[in-house]
Amino acid sequence: MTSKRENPDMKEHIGRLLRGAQVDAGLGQEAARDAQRVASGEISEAKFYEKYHGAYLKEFGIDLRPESSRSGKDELMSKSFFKDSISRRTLFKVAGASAAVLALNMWLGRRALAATRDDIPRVTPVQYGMVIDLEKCDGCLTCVAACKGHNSLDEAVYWLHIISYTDSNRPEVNLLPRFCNHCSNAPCIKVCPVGARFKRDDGLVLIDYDRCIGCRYCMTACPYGVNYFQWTDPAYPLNIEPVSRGRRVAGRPEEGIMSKCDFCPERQDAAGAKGTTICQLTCPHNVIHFGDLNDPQSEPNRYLEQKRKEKGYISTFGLREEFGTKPNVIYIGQQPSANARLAPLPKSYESMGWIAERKEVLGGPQPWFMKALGVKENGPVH
Amino acid sequence: MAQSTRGTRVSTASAVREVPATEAQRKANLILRTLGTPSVKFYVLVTLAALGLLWWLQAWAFQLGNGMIVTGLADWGTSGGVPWGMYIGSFIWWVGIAHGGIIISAAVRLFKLEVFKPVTRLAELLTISALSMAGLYIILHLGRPDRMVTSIIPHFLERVHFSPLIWDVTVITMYFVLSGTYILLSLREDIYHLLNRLPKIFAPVYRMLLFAYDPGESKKVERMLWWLAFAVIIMAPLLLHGGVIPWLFQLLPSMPGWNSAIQGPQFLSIALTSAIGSVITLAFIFRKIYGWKEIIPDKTFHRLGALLALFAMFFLWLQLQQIITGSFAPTLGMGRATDAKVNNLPYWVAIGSVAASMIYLGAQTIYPAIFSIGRTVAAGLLAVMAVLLEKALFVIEGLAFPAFNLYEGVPGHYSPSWVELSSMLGVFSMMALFFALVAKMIPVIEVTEEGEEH
Repeated sequence: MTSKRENPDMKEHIGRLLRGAQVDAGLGQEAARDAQRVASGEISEAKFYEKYHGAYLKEFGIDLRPESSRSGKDELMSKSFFKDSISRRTLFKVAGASAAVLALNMWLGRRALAATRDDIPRVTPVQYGMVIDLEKCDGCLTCVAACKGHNSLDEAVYWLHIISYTDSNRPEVNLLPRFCNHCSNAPCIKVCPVGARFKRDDGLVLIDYDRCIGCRYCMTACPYGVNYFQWTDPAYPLNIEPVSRGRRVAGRPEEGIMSKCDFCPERQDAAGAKGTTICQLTCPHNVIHFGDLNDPQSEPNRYLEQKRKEKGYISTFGLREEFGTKPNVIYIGQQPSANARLAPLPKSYESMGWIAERKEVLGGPQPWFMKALGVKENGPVH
Repeated sequence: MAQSTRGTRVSTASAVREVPATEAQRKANLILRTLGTPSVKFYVLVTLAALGLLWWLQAWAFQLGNGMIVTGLADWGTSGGVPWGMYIGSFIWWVGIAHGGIIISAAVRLFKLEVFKPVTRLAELLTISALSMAGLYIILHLGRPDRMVTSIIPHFLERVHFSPLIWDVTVITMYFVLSGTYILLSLREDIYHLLNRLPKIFAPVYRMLLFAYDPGESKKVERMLWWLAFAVIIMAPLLLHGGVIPWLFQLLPSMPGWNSAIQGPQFLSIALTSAIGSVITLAFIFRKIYGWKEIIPDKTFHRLGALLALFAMFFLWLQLQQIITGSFAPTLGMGRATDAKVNNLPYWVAIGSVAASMIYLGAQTIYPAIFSIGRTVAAGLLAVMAVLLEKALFVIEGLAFPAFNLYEGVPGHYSPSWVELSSMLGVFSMMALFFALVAKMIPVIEVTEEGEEH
């Protein structure tokens, strides 16, 4: 259907010109013809839009002809597979269902929140913990050595570590033995993906060596840095019974598993050893007092009471309590301030033949291609 | 074997030689070029990728044999190390790249942005493969990967409402299943219509893919695809990279560099930047190899570039939010973490790269005369690599500056070992192998609709 305004010579000329273009010339010419028909009122704007919309999208990827030329809502509908209209009844149904889902979500959400906050037993029947008298510690490292030997710990692994620092207004060397706090609200238990980290009903926070997958999430979640990963096969054989109450939890683990200060679980059910830890037994200065913090008559609580009577007052603190972890190691003495700076220990780890930073011994064996290239192996840097 | 090879050759040769009756058929022929007889270059690529994969496999075997000691990782605290490093950084990076598929698919299916249609399937394939790489990195990261099944599955229900790591496992699995279903549904239709033009050698694969296919189901499939896209467009950005991935870090007050409510939007903006950047790169590689100038036209790249510029802007803006909060009157821990970040040159390399990419792509969006496909791809690739650097720094620096710093070993230090670096070579090789093989098996651009309409 050609318009009478069209000149056949002109058409051929335009066709020649357009052939060089990268677009479909036929489409353009056809659309131009129909555009003239729209102008003359032969076809409607909407029909024109509809006729070429598909072709335009295919050719140009987009159809930017003015909105007014579309046939309104129908155009929107044509691309949707939803029904054209919605009955009042359906609308009410949808609204009702939405409200029900919302209510259910509120209930579920509140439960979930309560669960993440409170499901971990904050109060256990027995809560083993420690009272540490900082005034008496002289940094002799006897406890550290005992712990390392008892648990067969690798080089540079310190389940029990002595921090030594100077502070503003306290220029002398201050000592702070760092244990695992066996928190009542332990972040490590929360984040463990497999439940390998757990709290026993005697308050001990332990690692199930048969379940741990070694993701080290507990290490990132703990604010105290008490966790150690077994980066390679352990160097020393285990001399204690690792199984306690049916789970393998005591002493150093095998490769690929987390470990930390465990408050000697193998002792807590043994007659004669119950209520004691190796570090406490070996401390020559009566710094460490281990026992059930829930029991007012326990050794640590009696020690606190006696100290209070002796001095008339007592200053105690737990490490970084602002994290809400509820630590179960109570220190008698002054808390390190924000100005605390590390200072050398009175007796250094090196003097004991130990390596202070484990990073120094971590390097791993030499790969085959280095050996093949004749590169000499670097020993641990001291 | 000989017969099936000949069969392949015959079917593809006839596909190419067939005189195209219409424009659409001509384009379909172009798209199906990927399925032709492999060239020498193809074999070279596959061989190189296989060698890369082998190299990494021996590195992984070395790690499994000797323990995680062969990585550059160590305990934080007394040991002076960082317990999470490149493996976790790469994990986040790949999950971020995996967001490309859904962004593109949703743009086409839900928002009718037809300009992105040519790259939908490539983007979806990228999603599936990138998610697999992310999963692999979790396995590489574990001390006891052999316990993945025995420890996680039996205790899933008791841990799923606590551990953010289990939230991640859950949401990533959901995302994988939804994306896999999505690509499978859209692929079945294509394969059904093109069956006689596909290489016969893979016939068993097609039969498997077409299991119980009924051509009458296409309308229903269309509906399912719409709902899948709808579900994933909500879940992936809001729950995955704007949710459980940043929550792994931001929920831990012990690491002040992580502990910020802005990590959700921050992670999402970074993920989307890298996702679009990698879709641009991938689409360009295919366009270059198969001469697909008209199949994936310039305007698709131009629009993808505009999208990348937008996401990169959000990325930089959210970095600004963190730095200003960490500098003006920060708590001590946050101040230390921020100081370390802004005084670290690699951080500024990452930020500078994203900024350069944003500025160029933004300018090109406003002023199309400066468009160049090469520069667009360079900007996209730059953004993707910058994100990898930023993600690794985020993980490492967060752990190097813990709140409790009364240790000689704090701040910790870390640099990836040869084993960890080899994993990069391994996953890139696997991606190359995946796309090389997939391109020989299925059309990597949707063709059905075009073929049918005429």
